[in-house]
Amino acid sequence: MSEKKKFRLDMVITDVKAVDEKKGLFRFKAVPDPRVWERRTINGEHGYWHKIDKVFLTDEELKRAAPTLKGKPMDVENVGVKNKEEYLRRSKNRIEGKSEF
Amino acid sequence: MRHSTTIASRLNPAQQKLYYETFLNEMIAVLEDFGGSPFKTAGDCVIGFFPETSGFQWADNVILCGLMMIEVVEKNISPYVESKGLPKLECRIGADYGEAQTIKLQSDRIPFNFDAIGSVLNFAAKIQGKADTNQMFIGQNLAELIYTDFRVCCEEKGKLEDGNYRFFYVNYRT
Repeated sequence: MSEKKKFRLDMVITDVKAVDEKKGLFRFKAVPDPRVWERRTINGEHGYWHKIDKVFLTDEELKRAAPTLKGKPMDVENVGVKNKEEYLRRSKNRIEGKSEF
Repeated sequence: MRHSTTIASRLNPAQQKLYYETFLNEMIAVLEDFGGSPFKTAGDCVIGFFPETSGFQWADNVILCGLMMIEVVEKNISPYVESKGLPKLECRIGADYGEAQTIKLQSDRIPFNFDAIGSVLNFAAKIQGKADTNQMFIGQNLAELIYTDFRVCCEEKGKLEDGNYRFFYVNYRT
C-alpha cells in the first residue's frame, strides 16, 4: 500500500468577532467539519471521531497541534469550476477544431 | 475509454484514428487545464499525475478534473463522434494518492524510454477497473485528503482483493 504522509482536517469557522478593526485582527471559532467529525468520548478521552475514516482525534492531540498553526496563513481554497458551461463550450470548440474526418 | 476493443474492431483505420485522437487529446487537455500533467497514454487510456504541493488544492483538482472528464465525454466527445457516424463513447476514471518513481529504460529504440512504477499506479489501475460507465472511483488514500464536500459524497464500493484497501465512487455533481 502507498505510504500516506498527509492528514486533512477541514474546519468550519463560526463566531467571528472583530478584535481590532484597524489592524484587521479578528477572533473566530474553528471546529472540525461536523459532516464527518462528531464529538465522542472513547476510553475516557474526549475528542472528534471521523465517521468515514474511523479515526479518533483526541482533544489533547488537537491542543498540541494548535500552536503549530500560529502565524501560518489561513488556507481558504477555491474549490470548484468557476464557469462550467463556459469550460464545456471551450472544450467543444477545441474538439471540433482539432479533429478532422 | 470503455469497450474500446469491441468498438475499434468495427471501425476502419480512419474512424479508429478519429475516435482515439478525439478522446485522448481532449482528456489530456482537460488534465492539463486542471493542473495535472499527462504521463503517457496506454492504448485507450490516459495516465496523468498531479504533483503534490502545499495545501490540498491539488487533491481537490484531481476530483474536479475526473468529474469534468466525464462531463466532457458525455456532453462533447461522444456527441461529436456520434455526429461523425461513430459509436457512442464512454469512459471511466480511477485515481489514487501515493508515491511513484520514474525508471529509465535503456533501449533508445523505445519512443518514450521513461516509465513510472509504484503501488499507487497499480491501485489506481485496479480501482479504475472497478468503475462502471462514466463513473469516477478513488482509493482510500486520496479519499482521506479531499475536500469534505466531495468526501461526504463518496460511496464505499469495496476493498481491493489483495488487501484491506478501500475504494470509493465519487457521487458528486459539480
